[in-house]
Amino acid sequence: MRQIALSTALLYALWLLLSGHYNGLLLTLGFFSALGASLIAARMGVLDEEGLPMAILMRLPKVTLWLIWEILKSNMGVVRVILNPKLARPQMVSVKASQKTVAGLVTHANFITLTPGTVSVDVDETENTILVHGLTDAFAAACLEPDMDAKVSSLEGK
Amino acid sequence: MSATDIMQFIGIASLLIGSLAVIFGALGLLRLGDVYQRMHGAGIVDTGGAGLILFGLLMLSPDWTVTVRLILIGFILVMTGPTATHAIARAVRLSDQEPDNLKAKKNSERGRG
Repeated sequence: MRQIALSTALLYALWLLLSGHYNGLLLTLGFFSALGASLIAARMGVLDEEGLPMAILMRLPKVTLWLIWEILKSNMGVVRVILNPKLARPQMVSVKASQKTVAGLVTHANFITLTPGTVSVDVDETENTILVHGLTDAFAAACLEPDMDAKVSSLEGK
Repeated sequence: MSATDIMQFIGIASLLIGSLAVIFGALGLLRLGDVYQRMHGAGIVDTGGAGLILFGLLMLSPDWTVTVRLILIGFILVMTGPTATHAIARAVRLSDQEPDNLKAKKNSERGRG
């Protein structure tokens, strides 16, 4: 029930921001479409902690600046490799993840893919490891450092 | 120089750097070795390229409705981009494509045995 209310509120807020129509009839219709979409999502069973991970979404702004900085740094690194492809030393490493929830593990894998130079190839839910393809030794080593893992775990708030 | 001038300057600079990042990403797609390595080239396009271009447009946006839409586009790109890249990487792995250098190592081991 709480999840349906939350999802309706979010969808309605999104609709209000994007529609630009503010008369009575359209506001009511907009509300009912948001409610309808949320009810269908609830019936599909996708409105759980995995589909709407509010805990993580609320805390995202905390790491945004750090993440942007990491992305810019590794962009420069990959550009250097592109200009001189001989520098590439591709390798696979397995990264241990300390996240407790599935949504947290997915966020960790997404952050790894988001920083250029490393792509998460396979996520193992039972072992809590992420198989990462790194473009050079330095990129692969950066993934193994506990920095990103700690940041993502702090998003879970547990 | 007023505040809007400075914002305009930052916006244009960021658009230029973003476009350059997209060109480097495309170059990476052509120059790097195997599928996995080329994916890192594509990564520059979706993060540095798209990010800096969106930031540039944000600085140049005329009113708040455009700003809200640009932020939403950025959020959606950040959520979907890595998922799509991961889907490709996983599909490549499931089709038993080994990275170039690992394949070479395996072959040499096989040669010795």
